[in-house]
Amino acid sequence: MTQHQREIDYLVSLAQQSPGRGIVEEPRVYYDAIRILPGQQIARSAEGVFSNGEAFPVGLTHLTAAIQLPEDSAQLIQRVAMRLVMDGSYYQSAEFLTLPNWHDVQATGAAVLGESSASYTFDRPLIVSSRNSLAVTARLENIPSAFRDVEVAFKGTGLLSNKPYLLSGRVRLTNVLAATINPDFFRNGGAEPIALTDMTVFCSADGELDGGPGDIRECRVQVRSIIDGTQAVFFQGPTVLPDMPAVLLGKTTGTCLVHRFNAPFDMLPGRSFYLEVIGLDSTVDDVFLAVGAHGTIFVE
Amino acid sequence: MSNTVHEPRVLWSSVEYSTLETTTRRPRTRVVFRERDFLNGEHYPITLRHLLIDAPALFDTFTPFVPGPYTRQSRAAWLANVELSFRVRGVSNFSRFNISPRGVGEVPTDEPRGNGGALGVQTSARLFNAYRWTFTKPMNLPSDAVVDFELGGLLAIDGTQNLPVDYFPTATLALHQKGGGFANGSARTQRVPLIPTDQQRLDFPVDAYSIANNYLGGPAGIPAFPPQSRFNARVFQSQNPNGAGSASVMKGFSVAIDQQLWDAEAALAASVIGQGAIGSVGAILPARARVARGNGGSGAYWWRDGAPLSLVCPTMTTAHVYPLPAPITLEPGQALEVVATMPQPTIFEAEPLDTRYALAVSFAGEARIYG
Repeated sequence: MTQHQREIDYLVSLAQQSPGRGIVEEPRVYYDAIRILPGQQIARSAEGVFSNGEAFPVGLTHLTAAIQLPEDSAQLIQRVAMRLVMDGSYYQSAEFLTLPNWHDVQATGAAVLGESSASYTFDRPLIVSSRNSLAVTARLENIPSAFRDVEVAFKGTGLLSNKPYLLSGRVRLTNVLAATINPDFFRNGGAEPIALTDMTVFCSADGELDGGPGDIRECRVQVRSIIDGTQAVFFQGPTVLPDMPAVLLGKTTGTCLVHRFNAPFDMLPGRSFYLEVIGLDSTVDDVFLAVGAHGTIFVE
Repeated sequence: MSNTVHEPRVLWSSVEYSTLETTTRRPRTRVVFRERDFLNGEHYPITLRHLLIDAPALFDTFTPFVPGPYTRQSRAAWLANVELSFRVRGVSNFSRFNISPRGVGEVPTDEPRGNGGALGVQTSARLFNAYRWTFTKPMNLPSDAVVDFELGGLLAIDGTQNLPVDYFPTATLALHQKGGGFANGSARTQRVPLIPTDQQRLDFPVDAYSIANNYLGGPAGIPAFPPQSRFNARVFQSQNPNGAGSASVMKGFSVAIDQQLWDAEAALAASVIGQGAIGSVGAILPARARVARGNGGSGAYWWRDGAPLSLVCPTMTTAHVYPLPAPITLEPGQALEVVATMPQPTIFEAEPLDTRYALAVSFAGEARIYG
């Protein structure tokens, strides 16, 4: 295939509003935590958060949302309404649509485990080449009485052998400082590239509650490739929130709201949108809503 | 655009059965649901794709002892003890033997459990409390077509009929469409109060919902589908996302009900009258709906009045949903015969106990309206 043909194919795929395929394909999640304003005022997501600041297109497929700690009652999500605004167009409606009506994907995990973990299937496999690794950091929302264990696992298959791979690492957290999970846990030390297809994050109960269920809302994570790929962070949010609430990763199974767009839409380089949120009554005043927009970056 | 319109349809019925009806000659009694409830009385074929089973009982997993003439069984009990069979008489049987709901493949349709309502009371236990139907066959909507969507609330607990209006649940209706915006999707939405209405029009026995056996009924004079809880044509048209009112495709609807305050007060009311633990209050049967399409299509309501939302939303619901391995088509005039086989009575001190099972079954699909 000539360079000319590749350029034509790229332009055609852009015109079809589908990024097509890339040489490097990595997950991307744009996220924010929006404070719901009192008095049913419209609250907007932070400027530049839901924006493609990279040089390649991102195809978005899903939205996830959850009430963020320190609010205990996750069910307050029933009293929040949202709309997405891009270039003056609204999605799903110019009217604010309550968040439960956005939820259209069955992503409920099993009892107990569903509250403690979030599982995420990548839209496109993430290729980890030989001797590459992933840098995974985790932090807690609140200081535990004793400790919480955070475990991050990736699942995939070998590109040559087709055998399954499980890369899993754990860190014990006793404060709210970010900690990097030893990259050795996620290193591909073999002779073949691994195509990672899924990621799961688990946050245990506070160490003093031995055997009790964990709470995935207590945990934040961040991931990037160390050697290959773009080496940019997968989860991109406001600078004051360097790590993404792990509950937003429950796109496959978890306890967050999951919405799938009718069709993937492109975030070309420089494109952006924002979210507007209102609370329906005073019980959600000053509550934080975490929202994530999920997709894949296609690097040519 | 094709001249064929697919309009959603649900055929549903309910039955209440006492195990005292079982005789020694027939240790397991077959109960036939009303056949007219599963009759295709229209001029168009109806294709059924999902079987939904639900019980209006208030309890999920335990059967509390309530002093009185009988015991009402929990959802877990009927799931274990009741069997079903269905056929189109004279045309086709669909299984040689009875079907046990436990053994039939089920799809995930429910939500994560909530961790407590706004008042910290574990009442309506679902995180979003939303019901959704994503149509297998989307419905074409001409530019001037409208969808009339009405809701009616159901009182679940004795003592709650006099709660002030501040505690009434609110419902958000959303009609989802393809096209009309970026991401190839849009929605028309309205938020309405869910007003508890007169229970006497229900098919379910009154005390299938109530722990007490002396429930006197809801507020008098409230229609089954109050105008305040209606997503009407004017609102529908005003939210047309397509410029110049062009045609669109409706792919489904959803109803989300915020009843956290209501459930907390209902729990308090139940505890005041000494009924003890409630289980998952209200989430099973919060509302009923009726929907019709105007300015195109058949103009008929999509299901018989009185169906709870859980039975008409096969995509997200609290009911058990079984996608049929292959759709069943009822031609005009054909009917499904649905039979439930009930268990023997429990013997206590040499006497059979009066145990009641209340069960509802629905089949969801679409009618093919030829233009």
